[in-house]
Amino acid sequence: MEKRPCISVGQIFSMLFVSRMVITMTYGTLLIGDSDIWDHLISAILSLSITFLLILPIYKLYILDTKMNILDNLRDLMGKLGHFFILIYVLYFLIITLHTLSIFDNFVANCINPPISVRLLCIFMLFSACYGAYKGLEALSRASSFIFIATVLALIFMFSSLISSVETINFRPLIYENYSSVTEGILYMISQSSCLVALGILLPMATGSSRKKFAGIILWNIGVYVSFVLMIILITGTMGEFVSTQLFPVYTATSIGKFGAFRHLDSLYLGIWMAGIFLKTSLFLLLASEGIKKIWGEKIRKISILIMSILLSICVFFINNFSILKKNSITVFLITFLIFNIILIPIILIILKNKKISKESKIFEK
Amino acid sequence: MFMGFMRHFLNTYVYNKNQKNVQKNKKFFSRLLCENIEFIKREFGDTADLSIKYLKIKDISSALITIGGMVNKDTLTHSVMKPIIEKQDEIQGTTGQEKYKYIRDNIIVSPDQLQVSNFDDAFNMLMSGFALLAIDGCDCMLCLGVQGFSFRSISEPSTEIMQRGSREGFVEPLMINMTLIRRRLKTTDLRFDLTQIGGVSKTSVCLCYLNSKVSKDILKKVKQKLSGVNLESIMESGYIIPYLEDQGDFSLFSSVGMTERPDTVCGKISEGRIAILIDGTPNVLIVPYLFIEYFQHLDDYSMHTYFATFTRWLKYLAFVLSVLLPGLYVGISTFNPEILPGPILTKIALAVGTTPFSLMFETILIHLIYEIMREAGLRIPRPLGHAVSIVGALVIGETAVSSGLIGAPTLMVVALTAISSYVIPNLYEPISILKFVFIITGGLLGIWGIMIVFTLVLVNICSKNSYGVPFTSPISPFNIFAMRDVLVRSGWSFLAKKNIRVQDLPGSEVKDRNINKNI
Repeated sequence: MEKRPCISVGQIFSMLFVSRMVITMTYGTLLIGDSDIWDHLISAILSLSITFLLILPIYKLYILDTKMNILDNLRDLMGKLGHFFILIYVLYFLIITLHTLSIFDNFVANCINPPISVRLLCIFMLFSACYGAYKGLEALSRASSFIFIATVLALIFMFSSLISSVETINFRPLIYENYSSVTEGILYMISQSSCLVALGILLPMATGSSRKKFAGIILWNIGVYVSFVLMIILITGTMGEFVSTQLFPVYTATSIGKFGAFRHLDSLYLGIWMAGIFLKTSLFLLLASEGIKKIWGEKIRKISILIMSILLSICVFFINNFSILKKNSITVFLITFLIFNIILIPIILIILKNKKISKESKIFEK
Repeated sequence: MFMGFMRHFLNTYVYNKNQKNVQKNKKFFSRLLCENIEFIKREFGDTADLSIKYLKIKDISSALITIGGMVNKDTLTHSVMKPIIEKQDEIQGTTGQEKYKYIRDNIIVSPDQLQVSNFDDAFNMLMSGFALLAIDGCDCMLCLGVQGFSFRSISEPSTEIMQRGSREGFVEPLMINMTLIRRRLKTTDLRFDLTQIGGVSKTSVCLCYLNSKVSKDILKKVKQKLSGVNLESIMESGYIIPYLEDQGDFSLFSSVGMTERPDTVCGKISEGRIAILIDGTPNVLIVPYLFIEYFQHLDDYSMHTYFATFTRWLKYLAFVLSVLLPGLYVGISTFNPEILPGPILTKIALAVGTTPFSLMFETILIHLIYEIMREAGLRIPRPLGHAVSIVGALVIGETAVSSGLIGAPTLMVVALTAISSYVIPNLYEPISILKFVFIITGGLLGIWGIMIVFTLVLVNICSKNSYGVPFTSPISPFNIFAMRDVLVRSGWSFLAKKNIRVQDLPGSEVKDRNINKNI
């Protein structure tokens, strides 16, 4: 019998929070282009509502059978065709891992410019994450609790350090020019919501009542977007117009922030960000391997982690500066993929599940 | 006392447990004394310490067999030999068997007597310091408790010094150690389960636990793991640690605790843990053992709560410093010097500029020299220890810096790391390895590499389970109630409110745990 991982609701959401925050922390012109960051305040509020809507199909599917995740349902309800869709999920997780690595690559290359090979560092990160994925969900979720606490404390510390530097003159009226920035912001934020797909797989794995999980979803989402809003307010208030000239404004803001005798909070930023990137990469590699496990079993899962890491490391070497991953086109691509994975497939599964339930109840009545 | 222990041992282990399977393979005594003596001599060979004293008891040959140095000769003479010789006219019976029974019941005054009927049991007793009385015509022997071997007296363990509290530490004989625990826990709930492991050494191992607190599931697992020990000889408790850990679960951190203090053992078994006492070593093993326990010391509970909390945090800080400081020093100074405040950066830059080696090589070099000196200090005779300290202090402290081979900031970092690692001596082994890993990572990949390796180590620690209990519990999986003794050391009034058993911690997979929502 398959051993179910023993993870709590809190651990799941701390893992997802950290995975989402590492992307939020690298939010900047490199990823959003010329879009106005200040207008993204409205985008964040709207995205919060949209995210709640996006979660509904996954949650409904979970409520129908609290023991089965999307992958289980695909295998159970669709048979061989389900295997094909599972592979699509695997592909999605791998693309997200590659996307995360691209952010890492760009951040290291553009902000720190270390005298070591960025590619080498990327591969080192990838294979370390491979170990994390190999160790399994329990290990990752436990580690995520530590990283979550460190992240929250560091964010509070960084936000506090920036408050004194905020100048209200930097706050312009919202939607001063047009709505395009708001739309772009929403698209960007939703495209980065890959954790929603992860949620569809992880939710049944957590111990705890559905009520607790529902509360977790609400708190997690609000937490993510409140942090986003605070971040936008603080970086805009601190840097004003300079925000649009910075590739990674949050990092720049932390490097100029002061908290009493504490300066150079960028080192703190680097610490938690690195841990978060590690966690996210490990988690998505693990989720990809979960898909493999559903098709080919546990033994292949373990081998697949290594194979996927090798494949990704080849991609890291051959995709020059990840140019394909940092353009606007990737946003549309990621959103399409996301909608497919969290709306389309779950809705089909809900229909099939309902049919199965009604069929079973009819047999039972007979 | 010792006899009681041996009787219990023979009853529980030698007789009951093995009776069904091993009885067939055992060689039983012959009625002829000469045959028995011949077999014993043959088995022992020409060993110098085997002593066989022949006696004539009313025309019947008998022999008293002992191992030299393990028996008390005075006790043997006064309790065994003298009564037999003086009262031999009173001995009734015609056959050897009848005489044996009379001697056993009426002549020998020693209270510790046990009858054995096969050579395996007899050898076991003989090598535990018993005297064997064999009488011609009788197919059994009488074991007499006349042990008299010397052992180290009870003293404070040098590895676990306490400011307040008992000065007693475990010693080598198992029975004495059992008594030290029994004296502290005067409850019928306390259990000692004896077993024997080691093909050649046949070392006695005792599982100690509180019956109402221990998880039967964990107890079963421990017994299973102990029965899987396939070593020929067990000279130290460290020999069986790998067998008690989860197989195939590589980690630098052990999930088996070790202590030399009986009070620590009593505290641990009160929380549902199992102590494993091994004959011949003062180190007692404790399972399950969690990561947080490395930072808990018995002294914490005899101090004021505020100070105990303060020292607890000092230990956490010391651990982080000892593991990360040298690596961060190398990584930041080499790759991210902008993070450092100006004055410190200037000092480091000056030192690095005047020394011939790279910062990474320099730090590794001093750490290696320090480790060599530490090892030398441990192994050499004590009178020479001071010489090592002087040479170390002069060579590294003075000459290396003044000659410009080593930078003073590096030396300071190494010294701070070394001192920090002494704060948690139980973690010295993983710390010493990890600091080298972090130095190399810091030197090659900078702060980035350090963070990756740090998270890697974190995942490794988090992946561990100690007998179904998460190694990182109660921090992750989190339990607010159990945190009363993690981040702070709460007062006794609060600690005494509820005794949390180790198997009840969140995330535990132990089957017979008490599932309580408050825990």
